[in-house]
Amino acid sequence: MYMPRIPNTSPQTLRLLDALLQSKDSWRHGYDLAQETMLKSGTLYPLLMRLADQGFLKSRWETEGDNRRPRHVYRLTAAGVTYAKERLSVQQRHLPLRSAIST
Amino acid sequence: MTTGSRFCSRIAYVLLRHAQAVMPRHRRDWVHAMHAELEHVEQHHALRWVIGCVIACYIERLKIMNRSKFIISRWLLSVEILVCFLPATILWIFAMLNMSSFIEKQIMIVSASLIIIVPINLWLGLRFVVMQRPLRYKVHVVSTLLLAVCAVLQSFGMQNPEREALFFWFEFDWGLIFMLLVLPALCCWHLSFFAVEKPVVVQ
Repeated sequence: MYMPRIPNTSPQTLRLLDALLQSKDSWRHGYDLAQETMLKSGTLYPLLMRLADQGFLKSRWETEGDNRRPRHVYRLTAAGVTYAKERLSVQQRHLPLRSAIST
Repeated sequence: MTTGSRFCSRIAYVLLRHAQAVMPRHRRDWVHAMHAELEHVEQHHALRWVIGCVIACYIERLKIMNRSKFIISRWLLSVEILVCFLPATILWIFAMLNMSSFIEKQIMIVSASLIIIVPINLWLGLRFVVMQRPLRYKVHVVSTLLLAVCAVLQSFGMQNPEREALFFWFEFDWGLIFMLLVLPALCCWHLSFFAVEKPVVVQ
């Protein structure tokens, strides 16, 4: 039977949502997020783009004092915070079941 | 800054410029974000970071291609696919049929297994253009890598013209490079840039 895949349930997305949720009141840089979540840029950016398209992530340009280029910074929107909490709690509920199946 | 790291940093910026060309227009902001981020990435991570960015841009380009229309006729594009992939496919069929006559059989088997990617790409290209089936980026990453391996093996032939090259007819051949690399690359480039996003129909 065909089961449609639930979006944003991959471990990588959940790791990113978790990292963004931990610092929901502050703006985060891409490299900073990559280091915290251990995601490579090839995984991180498509996830960020998807979350932004879905309206769960907002971004802006942050200018630093020196002559460097402005950086793109990200944080969850209000809908994103609710969504991330929901996704992560679903994941937490399924964890004992998954570990029981795998053992 | 050492010569090696300067070289890596130059490569990283060249790759990023390529990523910028590949990224669909409505996502250009994201490439600028990657570019700005590169200035803050530790030097020994820079190249890896940029390679990831290039992959991200290709994923976006494939997504656009999967939901796009072509600005020129699909039938014309299928003829182009045939022109670009058929010569190498015929080469592959010829190699398979004449396998027993080659002395260096192991090398021949390796070559034939690498070039099998060309008929597979021919099929995928036609499937995408004629049947309008979506492209799968993992398949395309693997096929690009295999074609890159072909190029590397061919270049052994270029570096050792006196000795037997490791590839196919055991010597470097511009014809092979043209068939295996230039034509498929040209075709993929055309396909990706002839695809434009479908206009949104306002009800």
